[in-house]
Amino acid sequence: MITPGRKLAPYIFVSPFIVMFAVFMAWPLARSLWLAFHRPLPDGGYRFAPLDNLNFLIHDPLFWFALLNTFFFGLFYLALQVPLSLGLALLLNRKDVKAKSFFRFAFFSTHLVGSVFVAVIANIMLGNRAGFANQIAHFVTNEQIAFLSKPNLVMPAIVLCALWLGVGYGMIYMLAALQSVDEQLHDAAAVDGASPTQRFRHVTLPGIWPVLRFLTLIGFVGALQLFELPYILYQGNGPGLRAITIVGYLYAWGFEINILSYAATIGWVLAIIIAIVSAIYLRLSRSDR
Amino acid sequence: MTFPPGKPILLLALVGLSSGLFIIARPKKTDDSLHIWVFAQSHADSLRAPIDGKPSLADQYETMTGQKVSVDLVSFRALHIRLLSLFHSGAKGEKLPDLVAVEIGSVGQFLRQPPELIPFQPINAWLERDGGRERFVEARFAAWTRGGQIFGIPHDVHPVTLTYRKDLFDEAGIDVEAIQTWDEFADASRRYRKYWREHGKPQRLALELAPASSGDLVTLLLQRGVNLVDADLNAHLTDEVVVDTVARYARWVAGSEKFAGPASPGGENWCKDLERGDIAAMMTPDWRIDPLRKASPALAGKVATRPLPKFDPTDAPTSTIGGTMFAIPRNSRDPENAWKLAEFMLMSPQALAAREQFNGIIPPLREAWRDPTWHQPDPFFGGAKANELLIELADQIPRRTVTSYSVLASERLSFVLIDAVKRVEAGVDEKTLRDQIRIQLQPAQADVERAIEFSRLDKVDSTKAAQ
Repeated sequence: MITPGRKLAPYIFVSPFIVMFAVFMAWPLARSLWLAFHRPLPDGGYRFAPLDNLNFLIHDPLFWFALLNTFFFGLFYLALQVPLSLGLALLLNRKDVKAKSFFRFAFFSTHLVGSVFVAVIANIMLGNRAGFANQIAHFVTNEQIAFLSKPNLVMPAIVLCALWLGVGYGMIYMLAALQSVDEQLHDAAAVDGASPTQRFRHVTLPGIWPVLRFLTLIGFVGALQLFELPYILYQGNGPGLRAITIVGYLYAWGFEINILSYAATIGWVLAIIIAIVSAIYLRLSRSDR
Repeated sequence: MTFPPGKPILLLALVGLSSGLFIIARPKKTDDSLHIWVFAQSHADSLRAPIDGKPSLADQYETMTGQKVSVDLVSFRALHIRLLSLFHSGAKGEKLPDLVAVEIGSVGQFLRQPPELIPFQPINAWLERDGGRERFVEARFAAWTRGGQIFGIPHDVHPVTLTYRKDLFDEAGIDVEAIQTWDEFADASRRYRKYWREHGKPQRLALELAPASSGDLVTLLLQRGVNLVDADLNAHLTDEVVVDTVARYARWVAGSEKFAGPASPGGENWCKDLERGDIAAMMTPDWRIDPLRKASPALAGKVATRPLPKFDPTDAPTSTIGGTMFAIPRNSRDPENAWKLAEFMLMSPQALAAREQFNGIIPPLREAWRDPTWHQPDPFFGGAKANELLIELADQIPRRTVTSYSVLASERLSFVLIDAVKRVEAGVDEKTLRDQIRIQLQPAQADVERAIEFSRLDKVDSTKAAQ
């Protein structure tokens, strides 16, 4: 028979997590939700104003600019990251490639250093005149490329840095997926006369499809939360705010203009957008099956 | 004896209990030190490093008063966010620094509330009591004054001069010193570019200006007396002076007549741009002069510095870039004591001597300007008295107001600038350019006003609530 004390044991075991979660996640989330429905008063207090922040957000052109910028980044990034990761994984999955472990580590290592480090390095490399990239550009074309001051080059520069960080990460997943595709299916398709392209399309791709879906979803959700990479790379929001993201805009309202309630509203709208994107994606994935 | 939930739980409970008891029972460390938070290495050095072999300011203060001073260097963004978080959480006493350095661009976020609720201590009474106010450059108080109350002690003035490669301009046959207006400077700069293009140096630009961000533009607007958002929270983006300045600026940085461009980012690469001659002139606040001397000693004797050319005769001969104020948090342990600390660390003769040694920044206290060290011929500038010029300009800096919307206004202005630059590159005529700038500035102004109104509403509602 289980004694009452024994029944209590699991709860005691999970209690540290519950306490930590309640203090550092649930409470801040609840508080930010509360803030999103309130407006600050000059005396430091708040008053209930359920739609004020949302109404301001709907009519706030800079919010929409930041949102579009972030979506644009997400699409631009994924359109390159997924094929590049898959390409690298396919290369490293070949039997004739030597030193696979070294290459795997080399490609993945940029992900380990983190976006702050990459942004700092990229800022130095892409700088006008003295930057490494510009020195090469100048050597080859006798021209300078204003990566950090030309508005039209902001997004390509951010995507380039994000790819540096993210391609190796995607490659590891793709490689694992490729290795789990049944070798016998490839052999059977080859015996039936399928070309390498046909084998990739009809055997490999269906085999790695779940991982591709997962990577796309995770990549897009990650893109929607982008902040520190462009913020550090451009020491702010970039020329003409071209490096601004939703989280960057949230930060500006929370810590530069100092209106936490509006920042909280932006945060919750972002959370809702992520939930909607994920739901649509999962629904599409289900219909795929 | 048995413990029903099991031995592991007993062990966990014992560990938890004993560590809890230890934490509760351990003797509390009392920290009697006065804490100063700064974000710049040079500020920290001037407060805590030995001065010419003598004790540091912090040590001198301890000797005088018996009170230990701890100078905490916190990175720029961390300091401001930490301070803001402390104010949001209602922190009091020793959790707050006794004295804190706040960068001028970040001041606005701390001053949003009505003056009586601003989290810094007003210093008017102390300034009056100790006869301090007239010692300072009055314009420097503007950024942190609300409703007549001053919330910070200025650390600097940061007047701006035009530092240029005299040798390169001379070779091109241009006497920069004789130039009076920005229009004349623009004409001279185009001749400068033509000369160097013909002499195999097409990359040489005459002036450092950012083509896609509004920082330099804001400096020039300030010279013309325009704050994008004033202390009464009125936005001035549609002011005709803004239209005129954007139009001229866009032609300086773009199109066939362009003569200005951005410096290399990162560290002191801008010094190297000047050294290589890639950029021949730069707007230099005093805090840029010392790093230039150190990073590019090869420029000694080749550079000169002068007041800024003017757009109109009524413009200031200078502007101001950057700055710091020291504030005393309202709920700190002992604001009166913190004021005494501030007086010694920022306004005493010892403090001024330390400042001169560590960063070469012109102090905002006029009496310090009499010191002979500020009036010496400077070999770096070919024997000219560069510091004396900065001092002459220090009293003429424009009043800079900073609000939490100033950044938003400046970012919206950069949209307009980028559009104007594109139009110049497309070869648009002057009238169309100005009309387009006017059209673009209207939504920018509306956006800033909306943001201001969005928070101004609170005041209306709180008045209603109070009734």
